[in-house]
Amino acid sequence: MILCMTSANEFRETPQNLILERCIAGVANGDREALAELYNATSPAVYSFALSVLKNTHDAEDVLQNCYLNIASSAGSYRSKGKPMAWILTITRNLCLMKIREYQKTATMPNEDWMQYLESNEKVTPEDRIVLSDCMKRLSDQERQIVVLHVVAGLKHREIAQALAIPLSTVLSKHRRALKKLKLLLGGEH
Amino acid sequence: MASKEIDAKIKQAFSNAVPDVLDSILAMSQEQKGEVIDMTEEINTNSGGKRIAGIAAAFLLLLAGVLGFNYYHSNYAVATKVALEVNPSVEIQVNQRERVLDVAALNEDGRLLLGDMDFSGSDLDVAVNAIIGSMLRNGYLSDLANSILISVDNDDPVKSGELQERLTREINSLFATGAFNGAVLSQTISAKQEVRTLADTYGITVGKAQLIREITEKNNLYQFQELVPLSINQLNLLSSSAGTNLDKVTSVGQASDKAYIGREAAKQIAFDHAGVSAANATSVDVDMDWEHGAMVYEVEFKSGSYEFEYDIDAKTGAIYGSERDRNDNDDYDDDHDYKAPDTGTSQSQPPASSSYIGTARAKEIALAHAGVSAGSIRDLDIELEREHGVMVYEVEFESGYYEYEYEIDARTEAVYKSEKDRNDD
Repeated sequence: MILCMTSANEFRETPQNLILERCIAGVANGDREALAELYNATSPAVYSFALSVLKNTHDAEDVLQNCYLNIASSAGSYRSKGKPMAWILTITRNLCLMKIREYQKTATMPNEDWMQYLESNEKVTPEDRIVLSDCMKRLSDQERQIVVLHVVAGLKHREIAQALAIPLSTVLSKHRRALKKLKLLLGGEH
Repeated sequence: MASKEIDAKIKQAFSNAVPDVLDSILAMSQEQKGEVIDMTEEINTNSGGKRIAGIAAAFLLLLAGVLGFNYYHSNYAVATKVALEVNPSVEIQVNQRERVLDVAALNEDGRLLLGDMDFSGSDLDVAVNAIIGSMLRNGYLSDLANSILISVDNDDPVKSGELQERLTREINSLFATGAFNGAVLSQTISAKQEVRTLADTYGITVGKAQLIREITEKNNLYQFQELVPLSINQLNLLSSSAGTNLDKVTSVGQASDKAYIGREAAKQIAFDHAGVSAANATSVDVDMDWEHGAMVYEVEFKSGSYEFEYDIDAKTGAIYGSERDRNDNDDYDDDHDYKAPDTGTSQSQPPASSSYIGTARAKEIALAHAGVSAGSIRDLDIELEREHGVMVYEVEFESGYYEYEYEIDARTEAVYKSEKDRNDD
């Protein structure tokens, strides 16, 4: 029974994961279409995670770009562990930390008015802007990162705990708090 | 507003905000590969004697690069991929010299099977030997399911063919040594994009996709999607049944049907149900088939002026469908769901009128999988959804300190996803 439950917990062979792993294998062989497919499938997760850590669209875009260049050059060393998304987000997180370190040496992080930037993006609807604004301004940094990793990247709580290097219990309680806040904010008018 | 709606809104908002930098990534990843050129240019700007030395150095660099590439190519580049599939699926990647570069699990069982075995640098034969040994020891290959699929993928079809043949021989001799009565299917992966797309769409391996494609091409009664959940042994049973002679797949040995009631028992059930004695039945034909999301024996025979046709669940012996047709060559089912008036103790069990298993059954499967009782759960939510092109029931509930989430195939009952997260509210 114990064995049965652990294997249930670790059951990660979703079609999505297999597709991502195929893409990574393709990228390792220099397949540019695979890189494009991987980008299309995972860039929302990479970008939103970078944005939620850096809170600056220019830096997030930098990280987004560098992340896939990194993937292109290191896909060959990826070892299948059934967690392609976690691997990609580890790269993203490291790039974010590098950005933060750069700023620590030179100056403070620029506090960008990213709402203005989003208004120039045609794909972002007015409702999207409200949602983004609430996520960026009303949630704490960690809450926002947890929500983004859960919703956009599709990570499990356990994987989020690993990715952010914080205890699982913290992830669970912060996620709950964040959801309660968002429910009030986004569902408030009903 | 439900959490789900909020999640969907957040996902959409962030997805829409992503700037499109794919083109520049593709351009830059190209540039990264051509970086060497910059170095020679730099050397060229030097003056006099240094310049010649520079050119010589550049030439040496270039030479080293070419040699290095060849060395790299024959040692570290993946030349061939060999997939071994039973239910655990693993893929062995080897270089030109057939030294193992990596062995990757293609599914969860494959991961369990491989554990922390490391084959890097060993010969392909050694790796195959160890993996087959482990499959036998761990009961993945057994008398009940004895089929293995070998798929060889090399750019050179001649090499692929040779390796396919050699591996089939080797695995057969491994089986023989262990006194195991196995069945080997082998194929060479063609570069067909269509097969790769199918594999991606359904989340199965390219090897299995190609095998299913081959079966559906030969027998158009099957649809690709309905064969996806089948094991290699079940696919082997179908492909060896009449009318499905595959020409791209080489088959050695007989797929085991010991997990099922067997042809004789199936015949007997049909005879009993029809009230016909074995002696009076002529033109008896029994085939294995996949229908109603289960392996069935299709039993056909004639008796007197009638033709009979039965679909009998291969595991339980339940009768899914029975037809009696007057032997008048019109193929018209004169008496659908025929039941002999006075004989027969077996119960006819037609499949549910809906082709889906229903929410009640989905709930039952999830609860059984989670090992919790119906009385102990809270916040149960079951929805029928299309995921990855397949209809699934998404079952969510809480029990004790945990939240559970399942995705269950609405037709085949296969559990695609099971999650258990601690809920420390």
